Amino acid sequence: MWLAVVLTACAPAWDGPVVVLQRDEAGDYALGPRDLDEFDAVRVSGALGTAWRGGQLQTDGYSAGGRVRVRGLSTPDGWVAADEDGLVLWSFYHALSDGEVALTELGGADLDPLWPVDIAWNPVSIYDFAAAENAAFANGMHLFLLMPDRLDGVPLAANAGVVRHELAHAWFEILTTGTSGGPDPLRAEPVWVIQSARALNEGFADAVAALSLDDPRFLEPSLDLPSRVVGRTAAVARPEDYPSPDDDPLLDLLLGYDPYVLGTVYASFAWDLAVLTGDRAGTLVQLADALAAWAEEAAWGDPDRWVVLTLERVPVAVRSDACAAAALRFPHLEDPPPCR
Amino acid sequence: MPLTLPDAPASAGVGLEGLAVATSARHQVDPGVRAWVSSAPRPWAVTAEAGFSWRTDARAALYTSRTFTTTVAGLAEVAAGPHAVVARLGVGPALVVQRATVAGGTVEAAGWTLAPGARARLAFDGPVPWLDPAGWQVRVGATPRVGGTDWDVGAGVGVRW
Repeated sequence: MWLAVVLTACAPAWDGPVVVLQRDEAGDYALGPRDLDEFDAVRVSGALGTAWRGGQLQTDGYSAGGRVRVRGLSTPDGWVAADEDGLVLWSFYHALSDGEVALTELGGADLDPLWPVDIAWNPVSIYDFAAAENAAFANGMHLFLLMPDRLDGVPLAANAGVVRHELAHAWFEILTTGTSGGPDPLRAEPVWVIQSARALNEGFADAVAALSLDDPRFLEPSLDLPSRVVGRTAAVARPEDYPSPDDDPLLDLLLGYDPYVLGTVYASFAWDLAVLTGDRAGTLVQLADALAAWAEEAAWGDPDRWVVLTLERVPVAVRSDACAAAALRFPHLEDPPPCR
Repeated sequence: MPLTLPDAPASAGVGLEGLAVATSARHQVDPGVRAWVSSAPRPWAVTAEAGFSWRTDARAALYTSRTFTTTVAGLAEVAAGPHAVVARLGVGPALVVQRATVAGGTVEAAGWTLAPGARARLAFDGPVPWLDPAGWQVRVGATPRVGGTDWDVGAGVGVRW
């Protein structure tokens, strides 16, 4: 055991790696050292963004509660955060850094409008985030929200797949609005249109996480949710999974529309394409390109249009197989133009 | 009713408390115990306190993080109140000593943190009826220190003499 005495009044200069939760090739997680470039480990701040403690999240934005101050224990492996909050914050930053590299190199993502981003740790919120552990990207607020402490598995904020899922929401926003934290093009749309776009947003995020990690079960180390496994055969779109203009907006708000049901179908379709082509990077590029085209058409209430636009971008050599996969996932999509 | 109590007794005791400890990024409420010894107020008095709390955060086979927090403080007080119950308002220097251990996989680390600070505390002392010289105390306190401010609320029993 390595013993360290830290006098906080005269804390030593921080240098070298920090110990974070890391995912290995097999998808298992363990503590390990990580060197992060130009990373202020005490303040959890770097080129990608800055973490803030507490504060308040309201409909018009986030007001931070103050700077984070992580205490570290010096070991031969690197600095170990002296409490769980510090460990999870460092792990989130590490996963964010890896995710940025993966999405940029694999999917050709331009995430520059996102950086530097704010990272809010356990803020008081008008939303329901405080009820459970969560990690989220707040659309239009340039903000990641991290809610700790309710699960036994890998903390959601330290799960590489979850972090990439949230990062993909930020990418979705950039692809559909051209910026990060700007006006929401959906703000004046009816609830069913917003929910339709939300389902596609969740599907795109799951697809990006699964494809960039090559792991359709990326959520399992944190949450055992079989219904969220990407690529599962049972992920087939049903008419009742789609928001409709006939939905009662009040009922929808009260009972809540579940965007993950349809989202898992979109992500599974994307996974099918990657399996067919054997090209995860190429598939990611096609998905993102189709999403940008979908936004250009402002087809917000027709998320299936993204499926058609994606099929248009699939290499001709596998187009017929891709169409067959789309027909299985979306039985109501009869003979879309790219498949004729 | 006179507020000062020149003949109130000295007291000592131990009790349970909830301690909101400042972590890296928030406050977390831990269970704790705190002992005190207070001189008889004239109406000025002094109190010595020592508190101890603990916390364990564990995630399956990934890691276990433990924090043990010890706070010692010396308070200069002014006391006032009706005959049976005394309010004691005290402020003074404090020292918070934390022991942290983190273990998971091949990583094992432990260390001490010493954080000087101050403490302010409002306590109410009173006798336990029919059990003389037993007494009780309820209190709320704050300990601003290097690295954050800890908050506590607790109750205990002891003796008065």
